[in-house]
Amino acid sequence: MNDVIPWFFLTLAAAGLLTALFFLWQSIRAALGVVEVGVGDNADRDRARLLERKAALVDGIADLRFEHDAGKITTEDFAVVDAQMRAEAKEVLRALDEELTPYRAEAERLIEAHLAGSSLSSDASGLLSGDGDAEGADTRRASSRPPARRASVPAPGEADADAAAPPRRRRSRPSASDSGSRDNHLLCPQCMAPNVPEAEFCVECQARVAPLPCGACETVNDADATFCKKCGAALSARDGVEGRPS
Amino acid sequence: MFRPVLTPDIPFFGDLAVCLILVSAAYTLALSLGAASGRAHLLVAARAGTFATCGFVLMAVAVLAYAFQTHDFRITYVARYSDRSMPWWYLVTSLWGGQDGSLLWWTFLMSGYTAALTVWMRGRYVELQPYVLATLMGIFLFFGILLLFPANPFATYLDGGPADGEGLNPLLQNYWMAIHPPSLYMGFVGWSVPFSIVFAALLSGRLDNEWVHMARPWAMVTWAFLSLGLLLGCLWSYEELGWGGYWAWDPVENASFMPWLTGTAYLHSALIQERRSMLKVWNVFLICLTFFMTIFGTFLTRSGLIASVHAFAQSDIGTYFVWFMVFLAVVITAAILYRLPKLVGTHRIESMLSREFAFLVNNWILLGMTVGVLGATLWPKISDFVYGEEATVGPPFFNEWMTPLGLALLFLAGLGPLIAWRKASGRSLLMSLRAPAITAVVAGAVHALVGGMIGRPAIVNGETIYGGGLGAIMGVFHDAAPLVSSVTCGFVAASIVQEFARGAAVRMRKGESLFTALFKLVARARRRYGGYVVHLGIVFMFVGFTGAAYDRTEEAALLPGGTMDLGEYDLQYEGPRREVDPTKQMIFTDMLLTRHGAASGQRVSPAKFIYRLRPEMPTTEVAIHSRPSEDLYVIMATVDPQTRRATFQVKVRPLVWWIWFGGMLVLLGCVISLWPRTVDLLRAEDARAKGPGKRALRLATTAFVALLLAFLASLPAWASAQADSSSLHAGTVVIHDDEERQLFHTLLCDCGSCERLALDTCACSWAEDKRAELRARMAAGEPNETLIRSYRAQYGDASISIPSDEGSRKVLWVGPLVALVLGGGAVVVMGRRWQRAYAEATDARAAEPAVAPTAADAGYESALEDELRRHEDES
Ligand code: HEM
Ligand SMILES: [Zn+2]
Ligand SMILES: [Zn+2]
Repeated sequence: MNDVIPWFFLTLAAAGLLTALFFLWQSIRAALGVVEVGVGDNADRDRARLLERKAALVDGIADLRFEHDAGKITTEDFAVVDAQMRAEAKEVLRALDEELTPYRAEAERLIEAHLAGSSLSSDASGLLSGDGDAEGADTRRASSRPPARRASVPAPGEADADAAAPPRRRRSRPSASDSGSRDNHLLCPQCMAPNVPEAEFCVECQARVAPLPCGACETVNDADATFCKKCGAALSARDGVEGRPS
Repeated sequence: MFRPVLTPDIPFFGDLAVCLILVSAAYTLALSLGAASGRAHLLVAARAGTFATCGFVLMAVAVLAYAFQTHDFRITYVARYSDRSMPWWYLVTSLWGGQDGSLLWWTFLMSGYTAALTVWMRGRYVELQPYVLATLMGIFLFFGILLLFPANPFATYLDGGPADGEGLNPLLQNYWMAIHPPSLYMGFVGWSVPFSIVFAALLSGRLDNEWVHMARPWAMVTWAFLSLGLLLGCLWSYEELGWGGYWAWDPVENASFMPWLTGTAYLHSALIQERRSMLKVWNVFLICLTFFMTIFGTFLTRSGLIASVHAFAQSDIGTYFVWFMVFLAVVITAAILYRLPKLVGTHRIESMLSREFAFLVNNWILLGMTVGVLGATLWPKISDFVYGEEATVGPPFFNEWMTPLGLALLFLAGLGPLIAWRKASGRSLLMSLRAPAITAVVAGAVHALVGGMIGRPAIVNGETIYGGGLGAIMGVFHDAAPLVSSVTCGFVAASIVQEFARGAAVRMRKGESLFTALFKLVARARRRYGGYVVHLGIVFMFVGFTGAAYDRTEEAALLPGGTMDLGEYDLQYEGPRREVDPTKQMIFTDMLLTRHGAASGQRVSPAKFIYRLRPEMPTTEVAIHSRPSEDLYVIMATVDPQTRRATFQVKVRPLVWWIWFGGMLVLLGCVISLWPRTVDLLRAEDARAKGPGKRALRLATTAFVALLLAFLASLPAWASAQADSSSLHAGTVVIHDDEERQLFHTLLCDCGSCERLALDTCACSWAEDKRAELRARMAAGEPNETLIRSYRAQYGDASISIPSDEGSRKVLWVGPLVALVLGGGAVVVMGRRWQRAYAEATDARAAEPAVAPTAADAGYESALEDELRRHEDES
């Protein structure tokens, strides 16, 4: 025992030093711009704040109802306050929706560029029907889309919130399915529910969970990918959305 | 014996590590300031730099620990706080046993918090991060400078150092020193995290509710540690100091109590901001104040500014702290003033009868207490400065003022949760109040009727510390304090139970069983019900505090075989017993305990320990027999090895057990309130990216909480264990009656070496002689007032534990009282104004033409319903 303890502390000191030096090295590299970084864009963060506010309001409304049920607030007061909070919450939902407008413009631009530049221009329809997945991704971020809007808003707009999304989000995706297969089941990219490995659609939310092979180069892509990670082709509707249960 | 393979120049490595901390902190500070302009790669660099800084701190601590283990007495700190005979675990606790080491330890804990925070912030709060890191690095820089110059733990002797160290003070060689300071430090240091967050919000101008959400878990964790530290401090005092009390209003205790008060105020007022986006300036101010108080508290204990039994030796470190505090005060004030336009929101409240307003009152009382404690703690210095005379503010003064405020706060903790947010209607509030009010009346009646029979009367004959009208009013209050306390405790406990019951009833109506309903109720609103459990814990602690009104003390000198008798207890002295271990000689005196005439077979063994290195300072080991109804607290004063005659002092301390029990409930409440929901820990997005990571995190948190619970569960074992340690005032004081106690309570020992303990606790020979003299004069018929006056004339103002309140010296209590009254007035005026603002806004809205609901509106309505349903399912 007496020998082990000093060694322990000596090792700890060395570990501290090495850790520090390692991070210092990382830090200098990052500061000099040697490593590439992505920290998300502004719109993304505003969105996060709106989502936070929405969560707080939903929490508040639910709590108010609970206090009413528990007999702490009279029905009249409850009605007044509840209406106020609901109005606020709807305001936030609307703002969340408007948030997406710039994404739509950006997406439109990307589609144009893609159609002009790609030899696979015939795949425009594929891109549009990629909407199903994108919609999934979108709800996942916002989780506030009024169901009514699905029908009322033109699909291309939806499609690409995701295409214009910051690199971080795209990068994170492969690891989702990687980790899923590591555990011998597929985690749904949308709702995180575990699915059997051979599942094609999520048992919980019906989003696609099976990997998506690229029609052009046959590279296997993530279930919710919109473009092939290798050749950049828009992912075909064939295995994607059309077969999706309603 | 461990022999290093190569003899590294340890002191050099230590100094190097400290220098590296400074360099790395400065470098990271520069990077984070650069990152503040939105340059992402600099933020990544600053985050890495933060980890690097923490790594260097780890290195410094480990190097010092290594030096202790290898007895590197070249280092002054090692030589002063350890010796070759100490076992390895005391060598570890020596790390924070002295001033220089404890500052390094402080830095180390801060690096732990900082690293955890930096990991936690990954990928979120991107705008705030640079400023948060910058603020933290600023604090690191300050401590780095302390460690390099006035408090360098790696400083060496010029002549190579002694052959053996001086050893750790036996007072510090006990397990309390192993757990009490670290947890208290955790509770102090941790406030730098919420502070850095709020300061980041100020600097960046992002002053919406983002920072409140961000700071909440950190404030709560720190608050929990601070509470734990205070509780352990009480236990330490009770078990080790041997005077039978747990809280003496000592400056060091006050120094840790003040951040606790302001921190508690913050936890509540933050709730208003989250709900109503109000009180932004106030919350910013509270966090800054709490952080400032931790630095100020450290300064108090380190600078030797105010004498205390716990304080470290005086040093020039105080100057550095003063400059740091001045700097903090200026910077904080400037930042708040600069951001004031962004901070002042529209304050509107529907009604003064609302949870919001209850929280305001809560804050008012807590801040009032802080002002009072602060003023009284600093009074000796103020008095010295203004009147040129030293003064002492002793426990009687604090008790006089804090008891009513504490009870008012407790009452409010019962009332507040019953009041609805925004607006409570009188009718439903009355409904909610019925059961608690009935319980309160019943509790009071039972106490009044039965209490007297079992020696716990509802009305006691308390002490009056001041003459005049106010003194008389407070005297009456103190006489009735036990009754008020039991009424309040009954009220609060009933209101909390009712909260749980009503909540469960709502769920049971949906067909859940009682157990499921309760479980789900707590699980889906952990924060609220955790808070209620905390409140319940406070109720029990008040029950324990109330017990102090019924303390009894008996003395006896016994030969083996002799018995002493205290009401239901009989203690038979069996004889002394001697044991020896490598560091000390222990003399136990075994006593057989009999209760109600039935031998319980239990023994209590108070003892004296004589340490090899400090034979002149034998320590008193009390024996405590603890039960919920009362503690038997046995002290052996003297034992004669020849005749085997021993003198004992036995205290019966009712209800002390409940303090520890309540304290554990408080901690349990914190755990419930903090129990992480994975969704909160990782945002949905991150969760998507890290399936196994999420599971690992859940595992880790579960393990952490399990550890914490195990720790809590073992607390009672400690509470009744007999400690391997010591007392500051060896010896015993004999008090014969209440009148004597009142007198001795007021007078302070003037022997010059004992930090002015009161004559009813100090056991030195000077105090003993003085007591004999005073007793003689009492017997001759001199009243207490005359004796006090002549004592003061003889030994000066500082020799009286209740400071003089003549002339302008009244400001000591008038000041806080005026502050309290003004604060109360301000709260009411503000409440009124906000209420009016609300009414006007509502009128204005009513005047607007109503907008017809659109189709889109309906869409949002149903989306909202979806959200609510999901919320319901989640719980
Ligand atoms: C010594 C006194 C008090 C202590 C130590 C204390 C402690 C706490 C703690 C730790 C929480 C949990 C907060 C969180 O999780 O963020 C809490 C919650 C709460 N406290 Fe106190 N409190 C005290 C006095 C009061 C008073 C006087 C009131 C009356 C206004 C009050 C009203 C509340 C309420 C209503 C909650 C629940 C908030 C919710 O709905 O989430 N407390 N308290
Ligand atoms: Zn003395
Ligand atoms: Zn003394």
